[in-house]
Amino acid sequence: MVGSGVTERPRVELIGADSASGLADLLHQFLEQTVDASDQKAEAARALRGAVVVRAAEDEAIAVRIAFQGDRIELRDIGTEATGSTPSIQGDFLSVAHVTSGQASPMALVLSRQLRVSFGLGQLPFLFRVLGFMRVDDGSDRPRRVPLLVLVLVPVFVLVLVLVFFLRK
Amino acid sequence: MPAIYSDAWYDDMKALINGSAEFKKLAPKQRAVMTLEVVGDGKSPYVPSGAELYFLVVLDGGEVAEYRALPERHDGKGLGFRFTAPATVWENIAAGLLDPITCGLRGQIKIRGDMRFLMQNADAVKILVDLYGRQGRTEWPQGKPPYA
Repeated sequence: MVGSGVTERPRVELIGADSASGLADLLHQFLEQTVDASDQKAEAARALRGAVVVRAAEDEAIAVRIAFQGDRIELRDIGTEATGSTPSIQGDFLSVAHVTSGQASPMALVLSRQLRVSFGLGQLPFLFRVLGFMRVDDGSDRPRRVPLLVLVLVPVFVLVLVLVFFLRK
Repeated sequence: MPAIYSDAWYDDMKALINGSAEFKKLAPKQRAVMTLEVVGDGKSPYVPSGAELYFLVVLDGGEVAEYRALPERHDGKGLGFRFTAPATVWENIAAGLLDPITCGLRGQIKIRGDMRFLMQNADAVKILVDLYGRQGRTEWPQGKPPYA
C-alpha cells in the first residue's frame, strides 16, 4: 500500500513475450486485467508468494509457470520441463475458464478429473489463495462476506482432497 | 454453398450461429464487438501474401447482430476482441482440420481483449468456434486446405 491508500498494482511480466505460447499470452492479459480490476485484487496479488504451473490439457507441451513475487508476477513458458515441487494445475480451456469465472468449483472439477492438480499438502492454502485471486467477481471493490455454507463446506472439501491425495499414493 | 469470404458466406455463418439454440442459451446478453483478422501468408489462394482481410462480428442480445467483411482494419474504438491469424490457420479451422481452441493456446491465433469476459463466456466462445470449424458448408473454389 502507498500513503494515499491506493493499492499499488503488482507488475505482470511475460518473459519471452515475442515467442510466448497463446496460453502464456492469455494468462498474461488475464492477470494484468485481474490486478487492475480492483484494489482488493491488487492487494490479494501482492500478498501471494510462490509459483504455480498451469498446463493445457489440449496440448501437454504447453505449460506456463506463474511466479507471484509480491510487487511482481512473472509468467514464463516451460513447455515439457519438469515442474519439480511447484504445484500444478492441468485442465482444458473450458474447465479453467469455469473455475476462474466461478461457474464451477475447482474441487468438483478435480473429483470429476476435468482438472488435475499436483501439490504438496503445505501448498494447499497457497493454491486456494491463487484460485481465489484469479476468480472473476462482479467487479465490485466492496469486501465480500463469506457465506456460512462456504465456511462449513471448505473444511469438508479440504478433508476430501487430503483423502484423495493419500488414496492415490 | 457459399464460397469462403463471399458476402453470402458471411450471411450463411451468421444464420448458422443464430440458428443454434445452444449458442442462444449461453451467449452473452451484453453487446460484444470483435474482429477476425486474416493475414495472407503466401500459402492461401484466397488471401494474397501481405494482404489482410477483416471480418466484424457483433454479438448483441444473445445473438449475432452483424457478421460481415470490413473494408479496413478496425480502429479499436469500442472493440472488445481482436483475433489475428494467418489465412492458412483460419482456413484450416473452417475446413475442420484444426481445433481453434488449441490454435489459440499455441499462439497460432493471437487474441487481444478482455480475458475476464472471455473466461466468463467460454461456453459461448466454444460453441461459436465449433460452429465455425464444423459447419462443412464452405465452398472452396480455388482449392480446399490442406494446401500443398
